[in-house]
Amino acid sequence: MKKVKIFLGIGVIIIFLIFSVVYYMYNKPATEVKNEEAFMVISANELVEKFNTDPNTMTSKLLDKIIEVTGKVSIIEDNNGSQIVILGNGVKCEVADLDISLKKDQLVTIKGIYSGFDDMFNELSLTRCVIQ
Amino acid sequence: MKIKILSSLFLVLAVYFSSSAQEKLITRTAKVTFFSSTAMEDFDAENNQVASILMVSDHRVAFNVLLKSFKFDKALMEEHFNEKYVNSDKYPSAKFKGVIPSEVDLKTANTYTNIDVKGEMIFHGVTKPLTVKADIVVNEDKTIVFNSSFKLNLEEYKVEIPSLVKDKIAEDVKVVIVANYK
Repeated sequence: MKKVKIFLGIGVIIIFLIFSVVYYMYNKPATEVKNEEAFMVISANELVEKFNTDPNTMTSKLLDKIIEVTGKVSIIEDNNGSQIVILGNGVKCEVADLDISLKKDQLVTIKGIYSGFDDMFNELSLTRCVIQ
Repeated sequence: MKIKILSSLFLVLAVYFSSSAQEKLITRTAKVTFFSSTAMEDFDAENNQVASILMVSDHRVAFNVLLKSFKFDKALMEEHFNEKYVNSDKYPSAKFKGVIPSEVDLKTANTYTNIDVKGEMIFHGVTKPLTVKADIVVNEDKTIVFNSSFKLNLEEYKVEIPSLVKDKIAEDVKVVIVANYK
């Protein structure tokens, strides 16, 4: 009788644990770029050049990876809460908290998640970016 | 005399170039949000870096939406969306190209509501004709605001939802576009 009770107790605990893990995994928040280490550190123009020479390899290698890009700010587009900073020859970074002191031609390092090539303006896209 | 011809030619060219420069309005920060609502679960995802071009002269509008740039609250949802539902490795972007009817004067300040924008949608490897309703505001400073909201049937674009999560994902997702062209 005692044994049955112990087994039942263990069973309940295991089920509870499984549920908590599943619940945690299901509700896990999306990646925070800030505290993660970059998979690649590169200059904006070098990244564009590498992409242009071999787009397929670069895409499969970098997709969903965090990369740290340094380059000159060529365009800043600020539009009702969504901000885009273009570095060098075409690395587009979506920055959540734009540093208002950021200026055109300023050299800056931005970390974000590589999310592909935008073939409308021919730009490589980074999301969830943070300015270093 | 020669100078007069040259200067008038220069003037014509200057006017031509300055006007053609304004014919094309762009934005990289258009926002596309989609909403899925079922009895089991509501969720939405937002993409704040949609590229779009509005050709003022010939009334064409085009959007390019990178699917990887959609942000969800939950990491697992984002992963499933990209890997299982829209296969964003294979079909990285969704595109909409449409024509704004000629009764909309894109060069004079005015507000238009419920305009039919006829075009086509390319999503998940499927191209389909699609007409969306749009509100268009032409501002005094020649900037244009384009808002649209429409339903997208996932089945029509061959997005398969596994039966296990069928109750959690709506068959028709609501898509909202907000674009501020400069």
